[in-house]
Amino acid sequence: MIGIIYNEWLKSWYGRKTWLFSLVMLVFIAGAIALSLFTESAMQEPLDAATVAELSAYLFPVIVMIFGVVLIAGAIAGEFSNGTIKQLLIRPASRHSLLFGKWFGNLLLSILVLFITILLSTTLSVLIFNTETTSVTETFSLALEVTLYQIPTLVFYMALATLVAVLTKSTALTIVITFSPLFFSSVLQMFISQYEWAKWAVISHIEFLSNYYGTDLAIGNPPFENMWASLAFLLIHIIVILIVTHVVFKKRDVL
Amino acid sequence: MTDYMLQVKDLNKSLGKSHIIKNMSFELKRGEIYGFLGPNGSGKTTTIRMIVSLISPDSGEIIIDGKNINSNRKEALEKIGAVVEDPDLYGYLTGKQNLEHFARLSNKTISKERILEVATLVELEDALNKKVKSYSLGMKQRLGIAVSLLHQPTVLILDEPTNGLDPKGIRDLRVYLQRLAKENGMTLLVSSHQLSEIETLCDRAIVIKKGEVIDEISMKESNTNEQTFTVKIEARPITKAYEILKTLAPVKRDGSVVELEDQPFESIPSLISALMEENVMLYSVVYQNRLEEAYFNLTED
Repeated sequence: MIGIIYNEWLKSWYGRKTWLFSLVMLVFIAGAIALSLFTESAMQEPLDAATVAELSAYLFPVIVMIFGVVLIAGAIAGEFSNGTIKQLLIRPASRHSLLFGKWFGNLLLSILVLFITILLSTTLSVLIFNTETTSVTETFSLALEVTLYQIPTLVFYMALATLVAVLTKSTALTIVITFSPLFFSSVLQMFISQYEWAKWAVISHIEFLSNYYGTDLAIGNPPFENMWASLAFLLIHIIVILIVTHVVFKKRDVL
Repeated sequence: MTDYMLQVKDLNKSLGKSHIIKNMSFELKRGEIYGFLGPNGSGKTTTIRMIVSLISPDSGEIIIDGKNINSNRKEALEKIGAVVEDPDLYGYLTGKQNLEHFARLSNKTISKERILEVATLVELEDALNKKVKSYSLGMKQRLGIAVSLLHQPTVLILDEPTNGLDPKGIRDLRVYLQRLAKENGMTLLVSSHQLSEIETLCDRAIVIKKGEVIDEISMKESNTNEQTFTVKIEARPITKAYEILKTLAPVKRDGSVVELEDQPFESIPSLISALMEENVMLYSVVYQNRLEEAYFNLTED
């Protein structure tokens, strides 16, 4: 199993150019810091490190999430379209373990990249900006909390991408279909939120951060009163999506 | 222990409404190279994909070195190596990374020495640290074979291995494959459109048509047996040649060529001498090779 995950990391690193993405993230972090410095000088008063760190923690997970979906699309649909999936599937390894290696390996990689990004941007924030109002520990826990609240969304989109990639075998379709909730969910949520059944629609639960972290971000009320209930509801959907994906992948004839 | 390394029994497969593989059965003996012949769309690739578990058959059994691919998939795949159609490899990885990648997917540990050994076998040891996308087609083909040999399979299946290779590449490949069969006792199944290629490479050929095995031809039998050939003679004046040959056998005239069907091999010298005696100028005498003849007889309606 470790060999399979290592293989997926290797292919994501070189094939999907994760090394380049990491460099791009570094540029983004530098950009965010530069922009904050610029704001600070324009406002002519010290900027809180916590503000910079929290803002970064809102922004960067979305970028990593998009990249995570691209990784899944490449690892599954990409291997179908360049034919290497055949070489994989005629090895003495079960189809389940190969597919698991793909989504789990890339999920792990995305989460790793995400936390490195957040830790780096938070560290830079506390080094450069004012830490008098909010302590260093508080700043870190704040940034990590905001990031953690976005992990369910990341896992959901990557699971959905796995399903769409196995069904469509097309990289482009995987990316477009997977992200349609991302673009339409807020609009859709606004329309359906007036109905009682809306809280049973998974789309209402995807944006976990805006539903349950503070209230200023929420569109209307969160679907369930209890955050953990919403998390469990989302998790059940993720599990069902992955089970369906595994069954389809196991049965599929590779023509 | 059975002497058949690959047994295909009563295989059936339908895709949509078309029944593409019908009661296909054949067996491969240890250490022999088999050609797998058939027109386009006859089911060669589908059969190969069923053997390596890419497609599941509707009914029938596939047994690789005593292991059933359906009930014992891992053990069966352990015994088989295959290149299905193109040698699809990761172009963005080096040759070595590709080999290591597939080595990690084996149940047994594959040593660094083994990786170097297969690379040397296909003469790629100097190109191992180059990215595969910079390889020529022949090198990719050879790397594909190296990948499929990593886990020391007893059966090797190659689908159209000479596709896109230059003549030297084809000859080199033939040498590797024959060496594998002779020295390592490996059983090979090679599908190809190149009849002459199959004829020089293989010991036997399995001919299929519309998803059924219609014949198995041995390539080892000498030219002196009872097989017959179509002989084509180019001579001048052609009418005179035609008149002479007409007395000896049923003939057909096609431009400046006279064609004689169903001629035993031993009668060819007598045809030539009959023409020489009458001072007909002879430009060429060719007979269609056996496999080609058999193939067209078998697969044409």
